[in-house]
Formats: sequence, structure tokens, C-alpha cells
Amino acid sequence: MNMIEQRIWDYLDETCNEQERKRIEYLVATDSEYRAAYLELEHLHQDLSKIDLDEPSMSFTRNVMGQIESMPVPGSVKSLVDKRIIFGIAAFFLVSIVALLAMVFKQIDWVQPVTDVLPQYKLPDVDYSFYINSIYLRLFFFADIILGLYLLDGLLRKKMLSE
Amino acid sequence: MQQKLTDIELIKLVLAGNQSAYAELIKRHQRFVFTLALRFTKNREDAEEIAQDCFVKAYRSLNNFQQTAKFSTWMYTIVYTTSMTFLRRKRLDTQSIDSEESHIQLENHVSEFNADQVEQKSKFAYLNLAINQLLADDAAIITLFYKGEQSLDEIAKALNMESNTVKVKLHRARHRLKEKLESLLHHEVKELL
Repeated sequence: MNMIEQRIWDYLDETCNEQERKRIEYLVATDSEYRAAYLELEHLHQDLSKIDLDEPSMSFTRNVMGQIESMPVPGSVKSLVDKRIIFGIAAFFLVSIVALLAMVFKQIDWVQPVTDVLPQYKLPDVDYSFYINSIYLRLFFFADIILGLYLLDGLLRKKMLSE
Repeated sequence: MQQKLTDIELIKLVLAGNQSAYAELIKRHQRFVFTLALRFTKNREDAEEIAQDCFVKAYRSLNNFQQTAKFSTWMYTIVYTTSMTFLRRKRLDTQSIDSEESHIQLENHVSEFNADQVEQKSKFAYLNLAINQLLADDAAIITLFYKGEQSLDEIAKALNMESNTVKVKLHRARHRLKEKLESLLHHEVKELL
């Protein structure tokens, strides 16, 4: 595309500044090449503005309305959940955390004797062989596979719906 | 006299549970959405299917629509992604329609009215034909600019591009359209001689 065309399209689309606009107007009035290009592009510009949009079939609206008829109102689940309920749950957890922290701090013995010896803590003896054996491991992996397949199914369904 | 509701007001009505308000939205935008889909698919049946699908998708996500943008801009993004998915699935050749089909369409458009009407219809038939021969992206950007009443900034926002990039794309699309039109008219004049 040549420079003349580009400048004229900028003029017709009103995307150039005032100074450029006046310059193009002057060129169109004085330069035959600019005038010819302007007349041609202005004609195309007008025709493109007047061109009709295509019409879909007569049953278009009815078909779409038929498809959405059984669908719930968009965002209805969201709108059904009252914000006061969400705030209530948040307040409950906030109060619980604050109460728990208050109890913990209350039970701490803030006065400790000054000594070089680090306090010792012995972990309780737990027999892990009771929990980690082949049956538990197989059950664990089986549950993992089921959960994995369930997740994959959910993802594939979501992808199919979005397409 | 009852005042015509805006798109945003209609959307609010739909979200409030008035499903029939959506029919009005469809009626307002169906031609634009259908034409855009047609620009991508070059086939009326496919375009109709895509356009319907777009309105169903739009309904499902209506609560996610940012009411600061135009509904038509939002619809364009849906048409674009739906058409691309459709074309990918069908692996359609979007380069051009073959010349035989072009002549059939042209004959369908010109009918026996008075001379002025015929001339006018014929002019727009050629223009439609030339648009149909453009690449899908070029045809869509021209439709979006001229029929979607979108500014370059709005188109840029919808396409997630710089405003200047859209400007260059539009210039190039129109240049290619002019070339197609010239080639079509040249061909017709040659046939007459």
C-alpha cells in the first residue's frame, strides 16, 4: 500500500491530527494524484458503510431461545448465595482463630530459666509398620487412581462444554 | 411512547430472570453476529450454526460480561473464538471461494428491478463478492469497523492488540479488498468485450 493511500485512509477514518488533516485537504485540492486516490477511496469508504449485513434464517431467534429455555438464569447460583451468609462464615472462622490463639498464649509459660542447656523433647514412639503395609499402600494408590480419573473426567467435560 | 431499552438494561433484565429480554438482544445483534461468522466460514449453514452457538455461549456467561464494554465488542470475541474452533475442527480452507461459486452468488444478488436499483445492487454484490474472497481476518476486521460501529480502539481492545496494529491491519485489508474488486471488475469488463 502506498503512502498516499495510507494518508487518505487516515483522513477518512479521522485518525490523523488537525495539522495532518489540513495538509491532506490541501494536497487533495492541489495534487491530481491525491485527488484521484481520494475520490476512489472515499467512494469505497461510502460503499462499505452502506453495505447490508447478511440476514440469518427466520427461525434464528426462536432456535436460540429454544436452546436456552431450559438453562438456569446466568449466575443464578452465585446470586442465590446471600453475602450475609459468606460474611457469617468468615466471622465464625475469625472468632475461632482468635479464641484459639488467645488460649495458646494464655497457656504459655512466659518465664523461662536462663541456662545453656537446650530443652529436650523426645518424640513419642509410634509403630509405623502398623500403618504402612502393603494393604494400606494398595488402598491408597487405588483411591488416588479413582480420584485422578474423576478429575480427568471433570476436565474433559469442561473442555467439551467450552468448545 | 415506550423508550427503547439499551443493551445493558436488557442484560440486567435477563440477569434478573427475565429470559424473554434476551430475545430482543438476539434480534438486535443477530445480523452482525451472523455476518461475522459468515466472514469466517464462507458458508451460510455453518455461519448460522456458529451464530446460534455464540448466543447460547453468551447467555451462559452473561453474568461475566463487563458492562463497561459494548455488547457487540464482547460478542465479537465470542464469534472469533467459536469460529476459530469450528474451522480448526472442520479444517476449512479459508483462502478463497472458487470462482464458480462466486458467479452463482452474483446471479442470486442481481434481480430484475429498475436500472438504478440493479446498478446499486450489482455494486454491492461485487463488493460482497470481493469481501468473501478476502482472508477471514481481513473480512472480519472490515465488517467490525464498518458494521459493528466500533472505533479502532474498541476493536484493538476486543482483539487484545495495539490500536496502531489494528489500524495497519484495517488499511491492508481495505487495500486487498480494493485489489480484489479491481480484479473482479476487470474480469467482468473483459467478458463483456
